Parts: sequence; structure tokens; C-alpha cells
Amino acid sequence: MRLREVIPGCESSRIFGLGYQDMAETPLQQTMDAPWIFFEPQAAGTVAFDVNKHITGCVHRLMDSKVSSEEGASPGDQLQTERLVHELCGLAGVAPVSRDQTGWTGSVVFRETQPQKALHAQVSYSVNQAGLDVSPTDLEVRTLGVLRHLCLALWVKLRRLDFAATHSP
Amino acid sequence: MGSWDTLALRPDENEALSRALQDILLHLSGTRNWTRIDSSHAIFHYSALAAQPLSLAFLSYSQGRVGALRPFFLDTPVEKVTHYAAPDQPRQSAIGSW
Repeated sequence: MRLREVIPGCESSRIFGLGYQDMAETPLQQTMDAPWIFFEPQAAGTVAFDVNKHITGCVHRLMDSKVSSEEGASPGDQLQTERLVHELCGLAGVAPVSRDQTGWTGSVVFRETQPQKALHAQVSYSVNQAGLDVSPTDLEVRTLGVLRHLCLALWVKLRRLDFAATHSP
Repeated sequence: MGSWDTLALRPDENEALSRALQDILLHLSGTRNWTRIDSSHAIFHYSALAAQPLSLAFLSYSQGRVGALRPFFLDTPVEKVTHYAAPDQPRQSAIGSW
């Protein structure tokens, strides 16, 4: 069946930049990815702070001083803030930032619950199903990664609520 | 794969971290039925275990609603989460379900 037979007036082999193969693969990929929706992390480019602007003893001074620019640190609108919090927290620290799961902070096994069609998620720091890849170093790095992202998420939220300690003594 | 023996902490570090973890886990789980957190291995293990629900709790707080979690990166809501830290380690633990 030709595309123009399905969509009247369509003379092109592409719709919205998608070819036949793309149109077949997109729903297939979504089905294979489910329930994850993979995304490109935005927080790295938008979450930044200047530790020198915070009072002595402020928790923000414990953060990584390499990200030291206040440029682009606007908390943005409510939706952007919520997206950043979701991105940084992930699901108990695990976020689908790439299809290659070896770089994730852990793994999640999903089971469907009845009758609500919701999910039961089992989260661990292992990144494979066998659970044999968690060395002490892995556990330390992944735990610190989860906590670092949680601190950034707290900062994003506090900035939104205007609670950040941005005044020098 | 490294050894848990390399994670030795000083006694004062052990004591401080152990006490902090007991408090966090008590608040997260509502129970004091935790095995003694008295070794470096146990501290790292339970720290890892505590980080997951802390992160989940803040996401839930941020969402500001009761009911299933609906983060933008999932196409189906999540109504139950069970936490495991390192399932192959000597003490397989689940902190419980959210």
C-alpha cells in the first residue's frame, strides 16, 4: 500500500521528515523501550551555582566547585523546575539517560500490578539482571551519584522557592 | 572486583555514620528492626540503601500529590517501589516498599 493511498494528498515518501522505515521503527522502538522514555539530560547545562556567593557553612559549599557559574542558573518556570527534579531524582536515583544502561546508577525491574495497570518497581544498584556487577567501588560511585543528584534537585527546588542562601556575610 | 576490606573507616567515623544511618532508616522505614550497623561494609551497604528512598521521597514531595508516581520518563505510573542495594552482597536487603 502506498502512502498517498493512506493519506490523501500525500505525494512524498516522507512525512514530517520520517521515511517509511522510521515510521515503522518508531512505534516498535517505543514498545521495546517501555515503560522507559529515554531522554537527554538537561541538568548538566542548566544547573550551576557559584559557591563563593554562599554564606560560610552553607550546604551548597559542599557541592562540586567546578560548576562555578551562576550563568544560566535561572530556575525557569514551574514545569522546567519539575522536569529537572524528575531528571535528577530519577526513579529512586535511576534515570533512563541512555539506551546503554551500563552507565546508569542502577537498574529497575518492573512488574505490572493488578488491577490498576500501574507498576511495581524493584530498584537496585546492579546494572544487570544477574546482580553480579556491584563491586564496592561501583556501590560507592553509584551511591554518591544518587546523593549528588539529590542535592542538585534540592537546590533546584530551593532556588524555585527562593530559599537559597545567596547572600555573603 | 574490589574487596569490602578496603572500606575500613576509623572508629569515630563508624560511630557517627552508624548513628546517622539509624536515624535515617528509622524515618524511612518506621521500624528500628535493623541489624547492627557496626562495620564499614554494613555502613556502605545501608548508605546505598538509604540513598534510593531519600531520592524517591523528594521526587514524591516535589510532585506534591498522593497516588502513583508519574515521572516524565515513564509511560506508566508507578505505585510501588522496593529498594535493594547490592543484591549479590552477603546481606540481601530490601528496605521495604513505598
